[in-house]
Amino acid sequence: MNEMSLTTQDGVILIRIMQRKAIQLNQIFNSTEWTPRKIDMILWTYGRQSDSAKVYAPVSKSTVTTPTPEKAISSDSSRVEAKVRGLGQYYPNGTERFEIHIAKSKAANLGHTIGSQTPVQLQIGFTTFSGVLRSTASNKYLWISAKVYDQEGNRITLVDALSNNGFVKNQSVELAVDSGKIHVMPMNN
Amino acid sequence: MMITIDELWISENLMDWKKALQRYWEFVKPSNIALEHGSASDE
Repeated sequence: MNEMSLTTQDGVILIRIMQRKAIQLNQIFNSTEWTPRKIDMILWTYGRQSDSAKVYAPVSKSTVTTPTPEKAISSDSSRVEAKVRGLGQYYPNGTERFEIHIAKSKAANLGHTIGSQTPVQLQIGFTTFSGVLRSTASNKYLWISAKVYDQEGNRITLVDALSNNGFVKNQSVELAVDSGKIHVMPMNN
Repeated sequence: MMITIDELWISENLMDWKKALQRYWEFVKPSNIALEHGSASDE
């Protein structure tokens, strides 16, 4: 298989490989969330730069799917640095209460008025949640509250929403503000 | 340190796979995120 000149038959083989991997992962993890498309998304990232140099990634050359991602510019004013914080308080099931903290000095693009509570839409992984961005005059940071709601109105803890998508305590994250929604993404190291 | 594709391919650790999938979104412009989410869920 020549990666620079894939044939239609190559594409069929690649799709089958991704289908098999998705089925295998769903069996291992007892889920239905893994799809050939997600396997393709993962494979696409390998071999591409993801460091602080923030070089534009080329448009995908995949012949299997046609994603159109382009790397964001580091100076993009719609991205805000934040941290996943554990509060040292625990739910009855033993999980720690998490919030997302944003330094006031870095929060200008969030459109938040200090001392208020702003309803926000959070995109974490593939799920959208409703939450609240809060601050006080005395705290040095804004925070996204520990309680969020999914699109069906079910109450979810932020720790579960984050943990289910691979985020961990003290992880640096980027909040990409787009069309009124805050997308929580891992920070490049 | 990012897990290699060889290691990931045989990994049975859910977090390895979720983190690998997360990494995709580092490459997506904020203005394309909604479009990409639609693409990823249209299956």
